[in-house]
Amino acid sequence: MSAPTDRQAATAQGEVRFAVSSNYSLYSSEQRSGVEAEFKPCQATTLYYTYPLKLLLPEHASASQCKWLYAISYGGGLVGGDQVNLEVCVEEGIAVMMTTQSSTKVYHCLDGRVTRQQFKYEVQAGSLLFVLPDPIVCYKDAIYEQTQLVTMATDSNLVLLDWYTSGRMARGECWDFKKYHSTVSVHYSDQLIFRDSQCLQDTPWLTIKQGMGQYSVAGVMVICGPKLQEFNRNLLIELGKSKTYGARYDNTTVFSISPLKVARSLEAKNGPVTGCVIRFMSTTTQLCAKKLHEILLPLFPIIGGDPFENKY
Amino acid sequence: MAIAQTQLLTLLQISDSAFPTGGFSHSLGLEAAVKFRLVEAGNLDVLEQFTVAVLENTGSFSLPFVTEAYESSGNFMELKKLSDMCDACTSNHVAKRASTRQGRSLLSTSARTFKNELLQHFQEFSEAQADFQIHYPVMFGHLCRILGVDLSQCQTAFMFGSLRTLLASAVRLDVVGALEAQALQNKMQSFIPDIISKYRSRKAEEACVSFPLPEVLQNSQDTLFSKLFYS
Repeated sequence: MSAPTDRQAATAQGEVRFAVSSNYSLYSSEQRSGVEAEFKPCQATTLYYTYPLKLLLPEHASASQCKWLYAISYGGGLVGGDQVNLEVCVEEGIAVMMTTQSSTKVYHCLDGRVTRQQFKYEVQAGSLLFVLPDPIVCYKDAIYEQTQLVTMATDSNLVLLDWYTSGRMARGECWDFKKYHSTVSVHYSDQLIFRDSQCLQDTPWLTIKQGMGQYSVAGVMVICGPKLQEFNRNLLIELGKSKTYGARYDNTTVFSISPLKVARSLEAKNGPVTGCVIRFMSTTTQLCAKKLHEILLPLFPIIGGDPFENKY
Repeated sequence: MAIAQTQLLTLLQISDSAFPTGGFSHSLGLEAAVKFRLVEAGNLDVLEQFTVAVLENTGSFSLPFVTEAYESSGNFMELKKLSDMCDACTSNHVAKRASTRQGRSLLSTSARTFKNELLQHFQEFSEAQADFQIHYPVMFGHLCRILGVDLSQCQTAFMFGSLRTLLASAVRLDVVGALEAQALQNKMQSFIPDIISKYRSRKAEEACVSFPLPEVLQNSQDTLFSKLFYS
């Protein structure tokens, strides 16, 4: 892919709002049959974006009621000084998956200008938002900052993946970027229930490369909401189970899991809301993608497909 | 007794391994790193890198909570809010357990040790709150302020605690000998002032992890077949 480095840095705004399809109540067979589906068909009621951000809403990508949203950038990457601000709102009772077409490439910032992406997601009651992008790939000398702020209403659901790699591995780059800073904050019923903030940069005594050891991919996934309870329970059992006597400790791909508990003060009001957080690192993107595929498999019927199919 | 002397003695007491806050039940991810064969006996360089990564994380993630707790020590509700935020930011359940256990022990041990009215009040306050867990960095900052330790000494003592806990676990895991560990500790101590100066005025709102590797490993502690440490 040719580098878009001759492109001028730009600030992009984007906004998408999803709601139940307007023709749903007129034509829905489920309305007639009286059986309520888990998620209603939905459509974008607002869709706005400016250069270099582009938002795609393919008609037939999903085999379910879940709507797919692709956030991409012109030229296949972000240059130093680019700022992308995107707001996604998922109204009540629907499912939406946001993804990318390929990894987000962040080019060098030789003039010290930061590349920044800010995402705000609002998930309303009864809805489910998947944020399943390809990894961020920071090239040599890139400076990248990303914030993701999720506001979840009571009784809403979320699966959010945030992962990154060591750079253009085929060109021998290995943790050669200047800075990668990613923060994910999740508020549930107006209370901060989760924050993960990672800021990787060389220090005088330890480079990122030394600190990452043999690993070239890392990330975090947060899963939360009443509709995902069974999925979540199974994950905690599967990934959280103890090694057996004599078992080999596979250090090529380490996936660790923690339960995510919503404060008891909220539970009293809303009933138990549980979730989990998965932290991982892997020696290769392929191994990592394979494990993520295994984990996400039970959700593919809801998503209506595999967003990473044929990619890794 | 001169103030400086009193301060030093207080600091020595709360930093001493005899002060029962349970620091020695924790390896800060080192035990998992050993089980996963990422840190091995005899390879000092790798242990050193792991130690620096842990110290950087202590500085970028925990130290802001120590500092902010020190500054809002007088306001119990603020401390609770800070500890709740620390809880939301510590989603790794192994780290969370380590932090809340040590926070609780630090509070109860120091309430009984120092016979300080503020500490008694704070203990009553924290017991009266439903579902309140005091995290270790918050309690540490709060305690130092109450005991009249100045902020920079408090930050230094906190960093020292992490380093000491990690290297003590390295000795017990047989990764390094006791004497080598002390030499390594001495070398690592020379990094502490720079790490502190990098993060000394960082707000808890900006707390972040600098090196994810120890974090991912520590997070897997409960899946280890046999273990010496809680975290």
